[in-house]
Amino acid sequence: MIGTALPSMALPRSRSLTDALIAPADSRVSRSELGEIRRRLEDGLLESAGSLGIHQRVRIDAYRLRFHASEPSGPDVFAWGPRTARRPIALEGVRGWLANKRLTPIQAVAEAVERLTRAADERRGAGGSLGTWLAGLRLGAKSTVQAEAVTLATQLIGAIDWPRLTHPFVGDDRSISFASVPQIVLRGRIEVRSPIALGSLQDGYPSGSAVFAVMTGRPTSTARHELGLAGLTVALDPKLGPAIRVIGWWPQCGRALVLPVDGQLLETTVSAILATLRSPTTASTGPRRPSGRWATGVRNATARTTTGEVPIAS
Amino acid sequence: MTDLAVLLQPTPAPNGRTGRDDVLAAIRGNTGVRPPVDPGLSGGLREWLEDGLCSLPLDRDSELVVTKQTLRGEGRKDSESITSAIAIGALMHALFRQYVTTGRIEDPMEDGLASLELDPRRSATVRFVHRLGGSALHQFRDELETQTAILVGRWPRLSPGWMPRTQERVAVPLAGGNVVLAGVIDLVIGSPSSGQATVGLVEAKSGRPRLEDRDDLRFYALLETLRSGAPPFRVATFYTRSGQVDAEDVYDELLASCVMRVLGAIRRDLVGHR
Repeated sequence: MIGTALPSMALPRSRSLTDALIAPADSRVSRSELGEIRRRLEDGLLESAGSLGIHQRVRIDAYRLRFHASEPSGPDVFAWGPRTARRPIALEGVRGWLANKRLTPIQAVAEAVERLTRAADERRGAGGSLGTWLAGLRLGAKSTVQAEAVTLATQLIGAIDWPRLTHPFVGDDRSISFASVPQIVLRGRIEVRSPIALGSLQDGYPSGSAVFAVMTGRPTSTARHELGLAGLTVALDPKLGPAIRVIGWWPQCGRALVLPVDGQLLETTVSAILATLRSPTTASTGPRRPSGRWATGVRNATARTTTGEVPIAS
Repeated sequence: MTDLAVLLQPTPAPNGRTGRDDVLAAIRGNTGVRPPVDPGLSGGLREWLEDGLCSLPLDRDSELVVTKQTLRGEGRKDSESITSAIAIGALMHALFRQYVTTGRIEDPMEDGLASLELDPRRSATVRFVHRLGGSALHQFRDELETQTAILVGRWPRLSPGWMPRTQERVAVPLAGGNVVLAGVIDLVIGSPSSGQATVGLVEAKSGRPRLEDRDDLRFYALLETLRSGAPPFRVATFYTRSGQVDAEDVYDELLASCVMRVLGAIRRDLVGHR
């Protein structure tokens, strides 16, 4: 796997992870190189879209990239459960904790569950939303979901030296699609996006982005593509400055991988996306996740709400 | 107030301290001593394991997952082997987690089953409980409520600064991913290490104390050391059957003996499959 693995012995881990996250940008993908990558991606998506049904929408996310490489059969239909709900609840909890650091992770997550449930009530239960699902759980079940989220939220809170980040965006997942191929959406999973100074690489942008992604299990052969997808969705988002680096962190095994967002990473990620789209399993399945605000779940620490999907002009 | 609510009141210990104080003291150990972390310890243990694995005939095309059951020489339990004791254990784990996270349990059976029903891997246990009837169900409920009362009466309210998190999964790949040391720790407390051992590990057990219980925790102490770069300062087992705690400090020698045990178990496992 190409990239820099952080030394596991350096303590505290949060210092070395934060050092890696906010280090000044030393290189970036040029506009012309990004333009070339973007054209190749769009052409490939257009070609793949030809084999999709008229109303079929496909979302390529980290799960799909991993599944495509490892499983011969199609992925399960998405359903809320402790494992699927823990991330959105934990991220909402971390946002609450950032706004009020006197909260403990347990309290922040409890408040997050309360907010999500209340929001579902106010909207009279959007079908399939996390809040609606939570509202229907009995105490024992809700406690289990809450406990899962507390564990993840505590890990994320402890992973980073938060005061050293400037205006971090927590839970900043990015969905992008081309206007010419609206039925294919690329979704980057981003736990934290931190703006970083560009220095001499500014070129009209006020800042660049460093991305922190919490990964499950241990590094697999698709980890680079999964992290690359997060970098690609930031790099192609016209509202953001250049993506500088992506850091993947696996709390279960303590490993971290720092990947600079360069032409090579984006090229190999595009190849992985197109290969995934060409696989029979992707062509035969639709989007996994239910629609709804919390399903797309894009909010940030400073309460600025971004849209769930960014269309890119062709 | 229901009978259960009466049972759930904390029970004072004979010395005037509450049972919770004793449990808390056992988990904290000697609070004045939080040993500094040897920066070479984690890497040294990992290298020892890697060196040991080099000499073993690993199958390069498959992944050997080593758990506490592997170390005990046990296989995985299938749905046929569910017993009352196992079902009580599963429910008490769910209730322990609930109590640590929310601080309340309303109806042990209802709360515990609601938790287990979320997990398809627990369907056999849920079915087992639903099939109980008559005196078997009565005894089962009685045992569950008694253990819950002990949990609520003895388990201390942890300081928020301890950042308690439950069911933390750890998976440490070795030998290029051919071997994975894996475990799920019931409760991890303490903030990440900044140079001192600051993390404690707790397992909740619903059965009688066994010698292997300490071995389980030593294995988890090794996993935590390999994962985070710092050993835990203490490991403890909380018995919901009695409300007692068995705890010990974590020393380098303890971790070293666990490395030997892991390598021995892997060697035994490989020989057993030949």
